Amino acid sequence: MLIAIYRVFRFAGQNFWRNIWLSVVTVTILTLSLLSVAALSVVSTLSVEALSKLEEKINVSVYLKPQLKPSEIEDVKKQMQEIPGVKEIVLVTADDALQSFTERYRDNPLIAESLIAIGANPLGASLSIKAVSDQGYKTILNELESDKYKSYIQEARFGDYRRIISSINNLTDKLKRIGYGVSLAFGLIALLVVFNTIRLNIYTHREEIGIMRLVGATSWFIRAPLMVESVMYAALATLISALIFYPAIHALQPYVSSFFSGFDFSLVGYYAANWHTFWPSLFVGASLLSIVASAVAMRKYLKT
Amino acid sequence: MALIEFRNVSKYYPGNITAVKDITLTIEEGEFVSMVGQSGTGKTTLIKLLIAAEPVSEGRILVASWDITHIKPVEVPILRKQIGVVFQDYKLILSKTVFENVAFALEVSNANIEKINSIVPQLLKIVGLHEKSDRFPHELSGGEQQRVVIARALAHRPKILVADEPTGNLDSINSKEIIDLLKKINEFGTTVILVTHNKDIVNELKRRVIMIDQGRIQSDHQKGRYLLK
Repeated sequence: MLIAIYRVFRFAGQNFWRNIWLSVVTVTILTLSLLSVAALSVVSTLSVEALSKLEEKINVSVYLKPQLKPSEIEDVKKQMQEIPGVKEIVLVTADDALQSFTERYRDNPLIAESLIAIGANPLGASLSIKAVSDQGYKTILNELESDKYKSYIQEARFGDYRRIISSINNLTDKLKRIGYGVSLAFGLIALLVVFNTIRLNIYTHREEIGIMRLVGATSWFIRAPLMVESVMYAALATLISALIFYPAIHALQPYVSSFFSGFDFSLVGYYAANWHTFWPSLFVGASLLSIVASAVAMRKYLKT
Repeated sequence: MALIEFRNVSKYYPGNITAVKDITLTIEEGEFVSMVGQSGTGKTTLIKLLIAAEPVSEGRILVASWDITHIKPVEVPILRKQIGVVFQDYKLILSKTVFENVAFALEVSNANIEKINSIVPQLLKIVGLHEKSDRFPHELSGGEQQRVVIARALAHRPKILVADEPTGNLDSINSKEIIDLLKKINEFGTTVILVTHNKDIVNELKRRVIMIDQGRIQSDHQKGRYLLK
């Protein structure tokens, strides 16, 4: 058994080296296909990240009536905390609101004079609510519109929020659908290219397969080295893809950073952290595809 | 006891093409048989049926009393180890050296390295190529390539050696060498079936000659001659 396994690997190695140009072409095509899939993964990661950053920016600001006492404000905040889908609530007190307002309009003497004329703080406290997910906002907005909070809330532009959130949801859904479509198309193209390359590779071995049959080789003895050779192609293509991929995303990083201005997202960091799932998945996928393509292509030549 | 038996064997191809029709013949162990006839008369089809490269349409074929008419695909490698085959177009694995081509026939039957290292040089010595064992097929002449094929065909010490037009691509000197080699192999006890349309070779051999014409046996003489029509 051991000698048979040794021979399978020896023949696979010999095939690889003695048909070096065929091996180079096959590995190149596999590498390009893997890089296409990796590039698709980058686009998908960036879009998911961009959407999640966008969602992080959304919050619902609820302006409370100025006459509410601090204890009542705390009660409202506690009650709102119980609404399903709420991630966090930040209280902006009336004083904080006034301070931020005066700072924002300190160059506008008319507003400053108006505030002096009013005499007291005209602004009430407000609550800034963040939801767990984009779907959470729907529940929160419905709850805030109920009679329970009518006596506390002075103003909440729910309609505007609804529109923004719904636009983001629509955008997310569309991007996801486009992403799936593009992935499927790219995946199919890569699949066909790899499948045909391996078939072509086996086609060039067809005479050899016939000769092996002639001297009494079993199907397994013919199949196994070619299968091992396919896995060798996949392993080498995965390695080369990784060696090209990391410098490429490193070069892309400044553009990503400028796109995500204000947020800290490292593409290199993301793929460095996920290498142990990302590359083995690509390797297994490429190996399976090569093995299946080899097996299908060989069937024809193993009949006699 | 007959080593090979063809009993009323016919082979048809799609499109109502009859390759061989109602062939009945027996070949005894140790015989040297020349199968002659013009191109396209069905000689190679008979060989393909014998090595189970094609299924039989009608009749039965027995090799050493083993009925191979409806041989299972998994049994084909066992049959092929009993029949060494030499073709006109050599059929060598171009990416393997002379040694590796011959060794391959043994490796497929899981022979160990010691056995291979002992048998292959002996076979290469018999065919006179022991000094060229590291060469690749493209570095050899046609006659040398054919001798490698003969060495490979003998690797399993087969009971039968089938040579289908082995001299078809060779000059007269190389052809004579190959025929002499086949005679030597036959003297060691291997049954040899030589398929050819070379009149001179057949007539010089003075052995059994089976003449095939239009898929049928035209004549079968123990010490025959190849008489062209």
